[in-house]
Amino acid sequence: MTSRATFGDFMRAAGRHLERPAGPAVAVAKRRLPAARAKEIAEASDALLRVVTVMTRYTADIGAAFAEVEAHNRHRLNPWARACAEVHDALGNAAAFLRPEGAGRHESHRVPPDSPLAHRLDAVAESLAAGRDLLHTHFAPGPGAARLDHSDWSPVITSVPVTRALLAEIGSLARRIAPEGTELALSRAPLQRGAGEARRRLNAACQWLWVTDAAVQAGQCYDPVAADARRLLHAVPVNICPPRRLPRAGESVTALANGIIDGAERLRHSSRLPAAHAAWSPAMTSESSRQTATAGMLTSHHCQILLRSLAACAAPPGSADATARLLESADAAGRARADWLAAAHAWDNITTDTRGYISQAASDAHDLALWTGRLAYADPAWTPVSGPSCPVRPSEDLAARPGDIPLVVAAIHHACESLTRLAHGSHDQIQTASQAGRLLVPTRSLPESVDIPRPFGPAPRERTASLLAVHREAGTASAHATGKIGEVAADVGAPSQILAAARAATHPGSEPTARNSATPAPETPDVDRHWPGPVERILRDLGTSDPVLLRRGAAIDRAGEQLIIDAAETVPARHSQRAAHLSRSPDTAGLINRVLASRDPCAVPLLRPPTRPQAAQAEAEP
Amino acid sequence: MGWATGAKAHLQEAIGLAAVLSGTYEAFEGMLSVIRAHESRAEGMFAAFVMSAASAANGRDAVAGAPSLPRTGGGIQAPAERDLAAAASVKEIARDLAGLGRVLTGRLAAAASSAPHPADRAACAAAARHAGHICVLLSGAGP
Repeated sequence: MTSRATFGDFMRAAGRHLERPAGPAVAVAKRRLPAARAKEIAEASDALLRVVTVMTRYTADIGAAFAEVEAHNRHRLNPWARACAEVHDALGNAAAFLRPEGAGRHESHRVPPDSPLAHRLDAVAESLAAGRDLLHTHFAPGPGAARLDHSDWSPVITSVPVTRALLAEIGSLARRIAPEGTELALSRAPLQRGAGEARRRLNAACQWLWVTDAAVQAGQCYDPVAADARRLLHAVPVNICPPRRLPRAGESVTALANGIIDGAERLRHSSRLPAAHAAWSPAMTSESSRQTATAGMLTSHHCQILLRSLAACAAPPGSADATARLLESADAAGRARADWLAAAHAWDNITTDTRGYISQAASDAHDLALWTGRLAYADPAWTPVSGPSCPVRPSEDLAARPGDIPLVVAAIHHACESLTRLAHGSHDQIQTASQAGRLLVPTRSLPESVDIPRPFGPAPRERTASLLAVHREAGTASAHATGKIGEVAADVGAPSQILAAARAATHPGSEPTARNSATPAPETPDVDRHWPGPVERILRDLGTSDPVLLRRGAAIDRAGEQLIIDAAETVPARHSQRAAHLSRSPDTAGLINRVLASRDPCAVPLLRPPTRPQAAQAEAEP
Repeated sequence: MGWATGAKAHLQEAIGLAAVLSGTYEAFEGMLSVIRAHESRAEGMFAAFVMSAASAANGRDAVAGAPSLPRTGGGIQAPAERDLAAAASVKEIARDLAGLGRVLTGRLAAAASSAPHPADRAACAAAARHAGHICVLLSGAGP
């Protein structure tokens, strides 16, 4: 859909970094093995702290307020809000175990690690940090710590479905990282004297990563993250305005459709001028407004032509209703065209106090009309001055190559979405300009009885009311057309389906158009390996390969875990041992790890100490 | 189209800045009415018509900002009912309006270079640009 980086690019990169590389481990001389292992643990802990720190920042972005709710009041939160708070706490506890005692960190002098795991975790931290930076391009700093919306994606990113999807991603990554860290921590390889504490702390931090996953799992059990929400999160692009480009003569259907998508994106950027600016901005001119309304009308007109052409295709892809939906969409685009034309007419009798300036939005709207016209008409060099003998592009041309139809539908969908934003933005700006007394009429257009000794006088109230009404109607009609085209996009599998998903996420009452919107998101690649418990491991060490014996051993291990979970639930917190104590030996630590990895929320009390392990410290740079 | 021919003749005969300004204001206003009356049947010229309408309104507003524009007009009458009816073909209407636009451009450009008041000059120059734009849109050629 877009050549810009998306959040999904960074999450996929993080996932790839967690895949274990094939090949043998680096050989180390036996006498140097303890020191090498100690260094590996130190480096992995350091790298894991970077990962956990970025994760904590994500959870702070999602719902710092939830984390401030006292533990004894959290039962009042809904399960996802509780999950957010618990994930934040769990990551804070993990960081506390990983953070070197009492020292500031000097990232600039940090030496790249030798440890393969640390190296991969560093890469994960970088991907996560880049992903968070990408999300932050959609916000501007506001008063205090507040974030102000800076793009149309901002409300999508802060929507309930997408924040849950983000929390689920963090839980998933935590689940993948935890076994890697504990494997290193509990390795039976000899360890340098004094390195045991570092090993225990790394293991304890990984245990909190399992708690992170378990907290998310509790939310998932209550209300699973939908596949659409995860797709939407991954589709969030970096917030940059595509460069201006005008169509060249003879561009292909694919190039034209992509040009429309970029042009529509540009228009969405430029039409986000805050309404308050219309009180003083020199860009608020009648020339800009007339050009905007005219371009909106032309773009709707071209979309109507294109949708009719698509409906005339011999075999439209998708369901049998696709043709009917295309014709309904064409009608909806036709209604939007009529309403935009009414808006253009309304500007015939009104002007503004400043003139002679064309706003960026008006310029981009004009470009979009040119792009859509170039695709709608057969003339490869079509412009508005091409004259009367200009046939529309034959429907066969629009579907010459596989994939053209979904792309053309996506282009129309993006164009109509931008017109909707443009109409709403124009309405708000007109309202502000009207309140600021900036809407005028030529004195000569007023009745003789009105004596104003200046060339322009204030616009009569009924004219401004009419102007506002027609722009409101243009917005409603464009939104309706966008919704109809969203249905077509779902029919033909157009890449613009994400627009409908975004609308559904930010307008919970709106009709989701994607067919699988309610489908729970699939789990991220399942990396949970079978991890033998102590009984099964002993059987394997004995050389047993009998599947019946191994299954019995695994069953005993599971029964033991359940016993521990049941005990953790019943023992009062003040009597419980801290995890650090329970995990003192590698064997008991392995058992506790297995219990935590079961994702059973009832296992979490095993780690919950009578008081929090450490007070929160200043965040270290990842 | 009778109205466009009459408006052209009136503009060509206008003498003095006030008469030119008054005539051009009324010509832009009349063009706007004619375009709006015929745009719905413009088909292939639909885009050119609606964009010309915006330019006509812009040109009128530019002239309206000229300090020397008389408060009352009366030189060029508003288009009659027959000018707004679908008697002529769209092509003929476009040709007539483009011709009128050409005259408008010429008179306004001349006024822009000769008007004593800077605000009149600026207003005429801006209006001339909009008139030129109408010529380009409706004839596909410059003024």
